[in-house]
Amino acid sequence: MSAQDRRLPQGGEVDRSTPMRFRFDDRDYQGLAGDTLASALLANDVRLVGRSFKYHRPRGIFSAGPEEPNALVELRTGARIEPNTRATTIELYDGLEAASQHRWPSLRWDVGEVNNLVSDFLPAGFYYKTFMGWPGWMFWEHFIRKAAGMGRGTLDPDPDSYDKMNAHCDVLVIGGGPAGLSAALVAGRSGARVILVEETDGFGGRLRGERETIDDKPARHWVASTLAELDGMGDVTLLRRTTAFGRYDGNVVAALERRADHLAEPPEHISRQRLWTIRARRIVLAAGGIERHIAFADNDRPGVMLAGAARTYLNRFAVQVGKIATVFANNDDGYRTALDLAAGGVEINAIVDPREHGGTWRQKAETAGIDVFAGAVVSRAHGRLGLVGVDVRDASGKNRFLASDLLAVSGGWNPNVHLTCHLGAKPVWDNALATFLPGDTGPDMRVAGSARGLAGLGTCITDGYAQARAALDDLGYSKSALPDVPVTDEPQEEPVQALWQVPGKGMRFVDYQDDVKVSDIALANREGYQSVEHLKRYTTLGMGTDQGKTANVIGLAVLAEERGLPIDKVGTTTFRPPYTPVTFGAFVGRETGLHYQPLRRSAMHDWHVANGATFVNAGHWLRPQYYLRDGESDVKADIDRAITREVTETRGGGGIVDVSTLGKIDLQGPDTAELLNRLYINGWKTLAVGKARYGLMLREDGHVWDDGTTSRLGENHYFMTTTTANAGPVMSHIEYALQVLWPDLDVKAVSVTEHWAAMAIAGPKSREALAAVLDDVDVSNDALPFMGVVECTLAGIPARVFRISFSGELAYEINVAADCGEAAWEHVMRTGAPLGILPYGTEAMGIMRIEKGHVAGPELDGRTTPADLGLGRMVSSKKPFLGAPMLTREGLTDTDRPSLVGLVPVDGKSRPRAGAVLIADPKAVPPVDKLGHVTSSAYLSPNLDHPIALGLLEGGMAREGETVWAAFPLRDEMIEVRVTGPVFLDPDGERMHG
Amino acid sequence: MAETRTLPPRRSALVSALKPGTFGTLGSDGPGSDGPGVTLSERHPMSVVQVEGRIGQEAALGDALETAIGIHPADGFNRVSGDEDGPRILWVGPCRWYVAEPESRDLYGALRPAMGKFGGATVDLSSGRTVFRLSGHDARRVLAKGCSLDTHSSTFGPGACGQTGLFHVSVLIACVDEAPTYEIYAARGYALSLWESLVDASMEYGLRVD
Repeated sequence: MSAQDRRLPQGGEVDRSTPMRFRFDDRDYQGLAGDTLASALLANDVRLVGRSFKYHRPRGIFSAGPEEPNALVELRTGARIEPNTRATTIELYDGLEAASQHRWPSLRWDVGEVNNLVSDFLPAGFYYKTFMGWPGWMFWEHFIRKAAGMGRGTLDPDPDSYDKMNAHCDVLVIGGGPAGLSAALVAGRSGARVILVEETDGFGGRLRGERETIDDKPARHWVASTLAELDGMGDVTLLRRTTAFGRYDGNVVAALERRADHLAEPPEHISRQRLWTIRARRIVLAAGGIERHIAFADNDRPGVMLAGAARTYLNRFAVQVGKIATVFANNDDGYRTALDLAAGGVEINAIVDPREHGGTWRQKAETAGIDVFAGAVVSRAHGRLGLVGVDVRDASGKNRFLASDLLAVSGGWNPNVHLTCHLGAKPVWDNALATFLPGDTGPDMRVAGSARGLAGLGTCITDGYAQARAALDDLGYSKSALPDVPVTDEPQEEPVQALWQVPGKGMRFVDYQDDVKVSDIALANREGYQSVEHLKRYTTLGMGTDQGKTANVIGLAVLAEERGLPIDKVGTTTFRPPYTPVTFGAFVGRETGLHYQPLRRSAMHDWHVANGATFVNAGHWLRPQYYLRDGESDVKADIDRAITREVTETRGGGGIVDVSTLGKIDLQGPDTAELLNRLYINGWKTLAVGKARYGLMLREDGHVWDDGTTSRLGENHYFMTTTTANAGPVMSHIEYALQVLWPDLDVKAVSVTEHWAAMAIAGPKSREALAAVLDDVDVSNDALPFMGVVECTLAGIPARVFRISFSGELAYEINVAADCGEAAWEHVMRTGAPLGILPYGTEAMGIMRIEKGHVAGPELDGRTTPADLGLGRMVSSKKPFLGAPMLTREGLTDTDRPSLVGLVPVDGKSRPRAGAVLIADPKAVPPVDKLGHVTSSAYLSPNLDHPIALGLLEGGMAREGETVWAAFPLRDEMIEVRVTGPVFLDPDGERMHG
Repeated sequence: MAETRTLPPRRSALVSALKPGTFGTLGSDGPGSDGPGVTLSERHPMSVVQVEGRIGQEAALGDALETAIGIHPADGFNRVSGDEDGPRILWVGPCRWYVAEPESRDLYGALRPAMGKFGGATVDLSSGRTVFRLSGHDARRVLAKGCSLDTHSSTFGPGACGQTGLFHVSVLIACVDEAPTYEIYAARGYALSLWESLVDASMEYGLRVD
């Protein structure tokens, strides 16, 4: 256990009474509650935390926030391991385990560092240039990826859950710093519905790392009182640990809440992370700014740190990140760092400032006894595994060495414009501020505080008030008095002086995470990659997990210098969501496993479960596929036996199948017959009350869409059924037709799929069974003929009985209200038991319909015409209907079109696979002419005792008796099949009509 | 005189899943510390009948409904009239309503002749809809997990209804009272799936199943 040598005895937000043990690279340390992993490592004087991606250079903690390019670690272990997490944003918890990345065998001795020695041979575009030739990128990629590292993931299932939340508000405030808090306060006081999201665990933003005062008290008092007031407002939602990472059309903002990342494990019933979809009427973006660095030789040495971060570690975490510090800054904020560090007991060598002018801040520094080297720059850092000193070059070009273990760098601040760009606005260059400011965000989003380049605490608070007020004015909230402007103590600031790079030899890093140097950008420019988008892709500038938060602007500026253009002529790359990485788990939420999609169950589902059904997904529906009996298990032999049994006994006696999934549409109104006439290809004006008819529908392009029966229940009352798959689409299309195409038709359509449970009793004994099942109903062939419909009762349950058949057997469909479905089914099973009625599933149903040549989904595949399916005679020439005009297109009437045939394996046992391609010559060399394909296949027709299939074949029935080959190259199968008629069984329909 | 039917026993789609009791976080800390934040139950058996007339018949149809069952549809769209325990009328489309009540009579049989003279359609959906009752101070949060409808009391208070998606299932949601309590009408086939999602979403707030 290592002592926290760098921790100050008092100050900061850390809780010294709550120590936290943690482990980094197999070594145990102790930190405090309130630490991040980064602050705890720094408190323990751990300076080396990772290796760089390409050159494997030793790297240290560089920032104190989500912009961190260096300190990427593997967090946690086992199934919870997470690579590339930023040590600067990980809240420390007791027992935390983390490991460094990109190094082998250890962080201090890394073999990959050889890349650093040969770096002259690894310039920008090295991989493109080297590995695109023989034997190709696909070969090399494997090795390169392995060498590149980027942490390890896990193949274990994630033990934690993720969920989602929708939210609506009048004003969404993004960022809980001074500007965001003040905006939320004004919005909340007006009575508006407010959501305030803050990325870290607490509010205050930069104030958490500052020593500033508000109204002569530490700023945290103002934060606390503002927060208390917001907390007491009923319609204000405060979201901590929540990152707004994307803005989308309609003022929708996506945000990720890390509910349990700060804990070892999420508490029971609590998701680890939550994805918020926030629909905001107005957005106030108070995302603050991110400091940038300056490119000079070896500026990546551990111990070189952003100045604001060094200040944060001191003020918020009570950690001295160095003992002897040099500050290198082109702006006055660096002076604040120097003064705070000095006050915190750090010895300040000097402030190195390329500017010649002086101001209030310089006077303050000099009064405090700090040397200021005006007109000077830091030209090189020294110390491979940790900073030992820097070279300072003064205005005359003279170098001097300053021993330092900390170099605090500030190249200025970039407003955090990311979310202003997601809907297409481009940031605008401001020469005076030497930074990009938000572009035109439109009226729905306003930017407040330092996110739009403002400086000074009082200014930012006032701006928060103003932006919220403006948003509220837009929304019509009555004007209320703005809160008082708090008193802050801020010296006048002198302007920043743009400084992107310091000339010199050695590696001058622009993008730490991607190891992009000034020289790479210069090379890209020389090689013609002058567009920023090309530059990005050629050098990988800004393409790391940090998306170049500290690097991009420097990179653009260097490119501009190389091209001799002003920065605004060079432009920026596109900012896209997400602002920071978002785990896939959050997008998945609870939609995983059985809830990947909602499941739909029939009214008889529980019976099927209790009686051995194995289920198959049909869209959202779960349908019994086959029923296993006691002693049978879900293995091929037993499954085949079950399916064969179901077919054989249905054809031999009687079976019952759950057909509740078929779409059912109630149609009422005087024009219903006319509607049906226009929807179906066949005629409907002659259908009598109490009768059903088979109908076929086309899409508007003339291809077959759906089929089913429609029954006439009353004078103006019809009942349509559709296939399971098209239940929703057909209903939608009818509604569309009635509202848009033919609003003059007086028809009301209601989906009643869910109200009716449906079961089909089929087989030679089905009439006998039906007679026993129904309450005193004459079911004789005369009283209930083929396609007859009767309304009756069954064990007292109101029922509709339709004599229709899909199986080709004598068959009846019984519909009862779904809540009575299971009772009716059980009644049928009980009453039918003496007759041997057994349940059958979709496999048996499929075999029976193939035996009968009845078309189903595989034949109605959106590419077939009625004639292709042998249903050409159904097409009425006496009336217009949907799809009719297109049905006569040349391509759809071509006599060479593949049409429906039956296929039987010549050897009597091979099973042609659905999807197999029909070809003439098994030995033909590709490309082979395709004659058609197998659409549906029955592994075995128990009635014919050999496999059968349906297919669509060029020439169709003209080839009857010929043989072709069913080729399935993926499985190396080639089966000779004989062409037959598509109806294998009972071609005259005697069974069905009997 | 309305045609009457004897009412056969009805089986809920949730028989296998609905187990009364308390579940989830009910400890001394956290959101469930003040008792279950959510109460979930099924209203069963319910009579649900959709009545629909031609556009323009709204007033006449409303009067006929009032004559038949004693209440008039609320004015405007996405509104509900009637009490939770008596007949209620929920707007589901232009000149289209659900009439719903706890089953005590043949509601369909009563409404069909009364509505018949308007043409249009009267359709029994009683078995086609499972009706959930979701109540409690965290009920709104549970809905927000799976539904993008704004259920804030200022826009979706008692008397409001809306058709939307809830955990990817199409539903009609009606706000019953300020508890808040919601009635959720979902297709029967999806009822178990939706039930599981609602229970899952409620666990962190503490759940009582009645």
